[in-house]
Parts: sequence; structure tokens; C-alpha cells
Amino acid sequence: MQQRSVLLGIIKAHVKDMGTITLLFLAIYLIGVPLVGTFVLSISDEAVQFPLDGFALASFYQQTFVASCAIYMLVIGIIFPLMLGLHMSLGVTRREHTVGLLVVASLLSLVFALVWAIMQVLLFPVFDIKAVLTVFTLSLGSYLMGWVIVLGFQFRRVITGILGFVIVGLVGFPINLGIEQFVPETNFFNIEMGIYVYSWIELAGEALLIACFVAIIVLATKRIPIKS
Amino acid sequence: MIECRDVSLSYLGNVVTRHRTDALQNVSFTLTDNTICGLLGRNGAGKTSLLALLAGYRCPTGGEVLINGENPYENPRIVHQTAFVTNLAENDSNPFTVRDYFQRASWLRPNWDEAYAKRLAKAFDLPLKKNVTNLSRGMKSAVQVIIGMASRTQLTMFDEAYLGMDAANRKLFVSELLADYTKNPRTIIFSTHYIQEMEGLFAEAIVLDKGRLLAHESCDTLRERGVTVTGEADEVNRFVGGQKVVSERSLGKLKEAVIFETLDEQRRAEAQQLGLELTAVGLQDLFIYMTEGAGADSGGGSGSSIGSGMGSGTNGSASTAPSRSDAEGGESDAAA
Repeated sequence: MQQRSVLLGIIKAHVKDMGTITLLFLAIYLIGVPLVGTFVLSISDEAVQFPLDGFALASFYQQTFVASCAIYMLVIGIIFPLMLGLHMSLGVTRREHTVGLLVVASLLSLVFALVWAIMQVLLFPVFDIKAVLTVFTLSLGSYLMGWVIVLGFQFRRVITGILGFVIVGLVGFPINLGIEQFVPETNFFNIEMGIYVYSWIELAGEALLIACFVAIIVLATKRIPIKS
Repeated sequence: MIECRDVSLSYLGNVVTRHRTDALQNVSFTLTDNTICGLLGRNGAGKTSLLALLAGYRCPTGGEVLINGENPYENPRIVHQTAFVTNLAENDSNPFTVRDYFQRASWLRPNWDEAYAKRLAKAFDLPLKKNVTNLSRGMKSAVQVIIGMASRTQLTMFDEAYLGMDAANRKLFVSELLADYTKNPRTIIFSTHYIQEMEGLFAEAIVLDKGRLLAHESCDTLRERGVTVTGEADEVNRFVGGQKVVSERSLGKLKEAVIFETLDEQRRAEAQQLGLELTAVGLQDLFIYMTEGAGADSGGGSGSSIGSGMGSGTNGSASTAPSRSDAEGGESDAAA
């Protein structure tokens, strides 16, 4: 009972921390991208007429949404695991902190996927489950990648910090290369939407990558010493 | 009950040369429940390292740490019931306001006492809407102390938690801690350099020096290791002759000498015959003597726990250690 209340408490704390900043990010994105996108596309491509047609703008939306979510999640994946010490001083175990972060990162990725699902229905209007899953796996994968990068530094040694980068490289790139070897035409082009989405094999590869990152994080976090 | 069995902790000082620094070496002691224990030691003695092990912040490199028979490392049953209150340094950043920080503690601490936290915040005059990072050092300490006290954990450890607090706030902290301890007994470990100010709180004391356990005894027993002899200079000289004299002070014909030795009844009677006054030595004087090297080989290294004799107040020692019975009678002299 007590353990459940602490776990709920840490999830609540992470939702408050990451949820607030994510709402701000979404607000900036949803307002900022149409303005910037319209301007950039109008000056960069002579073939594009101004004002932009819905198809071009929607494509631009998709590309920027996926990229923005990935970068945003990478950044918060680096920042929020660093709150481990603060939460441990409030009586939370490393495991509870990790589970809380994983739950909330998954929830945020789900929110991004949901936002994109709504956007594609409103913009195109079609619904492609692979496009939605692409946003989910990329967001979660980016968050975990940020976490793995920062993990080494949490051991407070430069060498383990650099090791974090190496692990990301060792685990991430071979999987992506393997997928490309296996399926030369990796990206699937959705003609209706004018966007690239992951194929099922690529999605499976991303899921494998996420599983590897989670395993590394869970195993390594157990040994992180806390500076007192 | 807290048990440390041959606990060692070393840090990797240099990654290239693999040189390790020993923070703790074969430390063994047992601490009974519901006691206030002072953890004393000079800078770098290993006090924080020991507390970090008890809080599950680190894993010992040797030996075993047990709290209620269980390893505290990553053990939710222990970690949820342990508060490790450290001092927030000037450059430590905390992204929360005081109110948010308390709210977070209320989410994470199963026994959080909201009303008590609010009352303490008012007593310490804390601005709840201000960001913790922007508070003065004393205010930051007050925030930490309040979280430690209102968490109502079975084991609370204060590691120089009140640094920067002014005298009035330190007094308030000590009196609140004692009053709360009386109502809600729990194990409190207190690491401090303000020995003279805080010694009235301690029932037991653990003395560390260079990572080794120098002594773990009840404060009364520890104080009995030394005696202050006051009287006419000639008589005092005659009495302390041939003994370990820690310090001497003369004022006219009168003289005061501190000796580091336990006096038996015969010697006490002898002092009485000579018209000498015997008083207990302050813990701080003893601590300084013990850690300066002279006392290091004086038999305190056994680390034997004499915690059961807490607050027994024998042989006229001027102990103010709050045994449960003392504390229940009200605040101690030190807190008053």
C-alpha cells in the first residue's frame, strides 16, 4: 500500500514536471509552425504557390512535428533523469524513480501520437496507424536515447559519460543499419498525405531499440551513486 | 535497529591510476531504536559517507549495513522510512518554490504531516511562494529541516542540516526536534560540528576519525572518560601528577585541569579529601582530545555499543542527554 502510494506520488511529480513543459511545447508548436512554415516554404520553393495549398502545408506539418517531438523528447530525456538525487532525498528508490519516468515518457509519447492522429484526420483527412506509431516510437526512442546519454554522467565520471554516447551508437546504429540491409527501401511513402512513415519492419526495429534502451537504463540506474 | 558490520567504503579517486580513497574502514556498531545519536568527527572523517550508506545512497564496498535486519540499498520498506537531511549548498539549484517542494514531499512521504510542516514554516518565517534557490542559506536549511521533521520517518538523519541558521532558529530547531521526539519517538542521527551546542540532545555518540570508528558509547560513559579537576593549584597539581592532562588553566591560586582518565571511587574520595571539585568534561573537549591523536589509542576503538545505559547519569556527570524519561519531562537544558 505504502509502496503504491509512493509510486503514484512519483508519477504525479513527473507528470507535473514534464506535463507542464510539454503543454508549453505543444502550444508553441501549434501556433508557431504554421506561421514559420508558411514563410519558409513560400521563399524556399519556387514551385510552391503562395498561399500554400493544404497538401504542402500538411506535409510540412508532419515533417516538423516528428522532428520537433524527437528533439524535444531527447532534451527532456537528458534533463529529467537528473532529478534522481532530489527525489531520493524525498524517500524514493532508484527503481521507483525509473518506473515513474518510463510511465510518464510513454504517456507523453502517446499524447504526441494522439495529437498527430487528430492533426492528420483534420488536415488530410486520412488515418494511417503507421504514421501515428512512427510518432510514438520516435518520441519514446528519443527520450530513452537522451536518458542513456546522461546515464554515464550520473556515475559522475567523464569516462562513463562518454560511454553513454558510445552505447547509443553501438546499440542504435547497428539496428538501423540492419534494418536498412534487410529492407533496402526503408521508408514508406504515403501518397495521400505526402509524408514518409515507418514500415512495419522499421517499427519493429524501433521497438527493439526501445527495449534495449530500457534494459540498459534499468540495469545501470540500480548502481548510480547519489552525491550527498 | 541499525547494524553496521565491518563496513568499508572507498571511492575511485583517479580513474586513470585506479587510486581509491578510503572513506570508511571496517566500521562496526549497533544502534538501538528510538535514540538520538550524535555522529562526531572532523572534516573528512567519513560522517556523510556513513549516513549515505544508511540512506541507501551508496553501496558499501565491504561489510554489511542492516536496518531492521534488511539492507537499505534500493529497499523501499527502508528508504520510504528514512529521511536524510543534508544542507543545500549555496550553488545547489532547486527548481521549486517552498510550497511546491512541500507538496512534492507530501506526495512522496507516506507519513507526511502537512499541518506540522505548515506550523514549522510559520515558526521559521519561511516565504512559501519564493523559489528555494533564491532563499538565504539559513532559510534553505530551514526548508530541509522541516521536510526531515514533517516526513515522520522511523530514521531521520541530519547532516549539518542547520548550517547558516541564526542562533534563534537553531534554538527553535532543537526545541522543536526534542518536543517532536517526545511525542513521536524515532531514531535520529545527528552529524554536527556544533558539538557544544547540540551535545545536550545526544543520548549516544559515535566518533569517527579518518574513516575508522573511534568510539560508540552513551554520552554519559563517554564523558566519564575525562574529569575536570578544580581547586587550589598545589592540590590540583598533586592530584593530577603523573596523569594525562588535556588542558590546564590558572586563575590566581585556583587551577583547573582536565584529565583524560576514568576515576574510581577511591580516587574520587581522595579528591574530596583534598577539597577538589570534580566535574564532567564537555563532549567537545573530549572529542578534540580524542581526534587530535592522543586519545586515538585510548581504548575507544573497540566500537562497543553501550547504548543501553543511555541517560543513566552516573557518578555526578553533568549529562543533559535526553533519555526517553528525560525528554518526556520536557525539553532539555540545551533546548531551553
